[in-house]
Amino acid sequence: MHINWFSPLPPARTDISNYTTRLLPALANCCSVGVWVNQPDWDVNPPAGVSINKVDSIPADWRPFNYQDHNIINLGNNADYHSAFVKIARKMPSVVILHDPNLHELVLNVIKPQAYNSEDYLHVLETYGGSEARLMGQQFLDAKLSIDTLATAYPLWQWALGNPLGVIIHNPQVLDYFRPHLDCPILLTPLPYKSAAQLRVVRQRQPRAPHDAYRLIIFGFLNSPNRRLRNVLHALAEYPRRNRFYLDIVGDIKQADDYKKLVNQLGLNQMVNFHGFVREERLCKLLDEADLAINLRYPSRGESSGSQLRIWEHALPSVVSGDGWYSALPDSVVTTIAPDDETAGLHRLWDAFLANPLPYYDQGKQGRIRLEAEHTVEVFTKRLVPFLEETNRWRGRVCAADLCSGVGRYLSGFPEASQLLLKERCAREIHTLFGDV
Amino acid sequence: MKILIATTQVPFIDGGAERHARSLRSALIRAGHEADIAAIPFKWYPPERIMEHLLACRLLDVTETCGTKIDRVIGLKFPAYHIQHPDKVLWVLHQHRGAFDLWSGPNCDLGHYPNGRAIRDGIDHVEKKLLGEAGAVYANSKNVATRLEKYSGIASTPLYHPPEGAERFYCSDAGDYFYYPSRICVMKRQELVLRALAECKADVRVIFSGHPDSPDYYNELKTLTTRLKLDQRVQWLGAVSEEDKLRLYAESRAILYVPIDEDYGYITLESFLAGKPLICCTDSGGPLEFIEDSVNGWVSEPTPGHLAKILDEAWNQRSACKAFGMAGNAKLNAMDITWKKVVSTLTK
Repeated sequence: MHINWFSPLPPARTDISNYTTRLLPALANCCSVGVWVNQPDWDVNPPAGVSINKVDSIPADWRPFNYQDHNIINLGNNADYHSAFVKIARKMPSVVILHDPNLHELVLNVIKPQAYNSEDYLHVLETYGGSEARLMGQQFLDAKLSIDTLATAYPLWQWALGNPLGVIIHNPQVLDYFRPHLDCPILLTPLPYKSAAQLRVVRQRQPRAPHDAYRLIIFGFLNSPNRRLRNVLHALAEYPRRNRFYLDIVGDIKQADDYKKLVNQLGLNQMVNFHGFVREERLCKLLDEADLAINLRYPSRGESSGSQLRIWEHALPSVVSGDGWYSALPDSVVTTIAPDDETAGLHRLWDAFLANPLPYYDQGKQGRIRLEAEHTVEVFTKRLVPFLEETNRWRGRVCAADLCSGVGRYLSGFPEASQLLLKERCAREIHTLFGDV
Repeated sequence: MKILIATTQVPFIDGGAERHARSLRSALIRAGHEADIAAIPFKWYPPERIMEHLLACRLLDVTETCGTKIDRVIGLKFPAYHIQHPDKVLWVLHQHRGAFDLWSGPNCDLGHYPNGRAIRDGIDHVEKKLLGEAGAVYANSKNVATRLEKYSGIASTPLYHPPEGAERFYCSDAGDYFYYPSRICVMKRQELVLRALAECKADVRVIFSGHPDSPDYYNELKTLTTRLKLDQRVQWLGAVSEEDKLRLYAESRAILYVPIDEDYGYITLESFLAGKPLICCTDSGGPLEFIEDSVNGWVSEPTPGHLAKILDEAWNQRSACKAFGMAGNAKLNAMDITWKKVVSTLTK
């Protein structure tokens, strides 16, 4: 079996590139893989059986995709790495791994309404949300409405997916959302992390001495306000026993200077350390040294968190927002705080943690057990292969759907009464052709 | 019986399939049936058109005409052979080959489109499902029957038929040329012959006739002829009259026909009718059902080098050409390939 796998690769600073890097050895064990990237260069030594190729826009030659067994397209919101992929997904029926159920930002950046295509963008909004969506889209273009409000109301994933053969998601709540809207095969499988054999040896944590501060850590792609960094800093500043903690902030932050000023204003200089983007080994060391990870997302856009899996790899206790994928995690593996009670929730957690960190260390260990049971790449590939076979049958349905669209277009100019008769007749015949797939 | 022949026609293309339909109609009428041809226009690009044409065929009602029952439909080509009728017999000329035997090869157009794979799988699904609607399935050659079984799991019986105007072919003394009569297109591989000629040691001469599918490709071949310095040894006649064609057959030393996996290939039969041996390739498909190497023709590897060797050999053996041609003619007579047999099979 040969699959084409469309995904960013390092050094692309998106978790999907790490996701693919972690998966490739396991994928290469069950098939040959052609990775297709939409970026100028990459920093990966592909395992045997894996080739890496570039695709910059809509391909001029579709044969490399048509003549292989499966095309699997990873879709996330970063247009820098996914704009070619979304164009391909819309033209070529493929299996899509939906890393984010809200793809409005990607769609926006692919259509580029500000530059030249506002009518196309508004038309897409109208197609999936009616006249109200169009109106809100115009308000956004006129800078009278935020993209967050518009994207939450109209996630536009339908436009990005095109006519998929199958969809892979990693979040059960997203499945509940998609099930009524998608009739193609859907695979819900936990976000894969690493091969079981590659997981690090767990460091045993012990309560610290009274004079020794505990280490908090926030890491990952921290630019979005939904990572709650500002709120965490305020919560820490307001916490009476804040001198019992250090906070390590690890990862790229576009407004790092603003955050540093805020840390200064809040009097947190002695306890907050900005590390910026660090290499893998350095991050692992910081996670091993940490006592508690803060991994908040609010509002969550339904994404699963690679960061959470990394936290569990280190058997590190963590606190998450009660929203999206995170809200479904059991108390045995994370501490959850309500988004509308964030500051008080953090304070309660810190109080309890300082009183007795052992239950939290145990929570970290349980997280590691969950990681080993559900999130290894072996679990993913074991489910992927039969799913791909199932999606093969769906091509017939894609033909039927295209045919229905074609008929609809042809008949739209007919008088309504004859349209009905013809539609019924065509529907009957299309059902005869493809009703059993 | 009132019989409708359901076939597909690419507008302005008149080749073997069209002649086949006309000959069948004439044969049915000669046998006392009423017969007509329903030729559905066909355009296969972009690929979604294929499914739309199929749907259009499925929407047609050919059970009656002007209040009179149509007793039987004989389906010849995809997608017209999927027209619905309670008494349908298929005599398959070929399936949509881009979705089957040509898929992923150099002559497959479907693979160039983003939805090519989906349409290919859709055609595959539909063929498996609908071909069984017919009361009986015949194929126009063993080659096509093998493909039907291989790709769609449909058992069919090969049913050979004579070419149009079979009785008019005759044999004369051989002149100084090999004759390649065929539509001019990539699948017929006239280019392979040119490249072989360039490697021949003997002064082999070839006359090509036939209508080009694409003027651009025809011009490419002519340019190649000049580039290979073959202008003195190659003639491009284009479309010729029936009389000229018969004469060109009759006066040739041998007939050249080197297509890629031809379904049937009238030219093989015409060659034998004219008492001429045929030169084809190991991958030429239908002709191989008739050609016995070094008995009634020659079978070459599909490479310029090997074909050049065969052309030299055939060119230098004038007497063998004559003997092989006679052997071919005898074989054809023994096979009893007649319209009478075809009609009785398709109307039983």
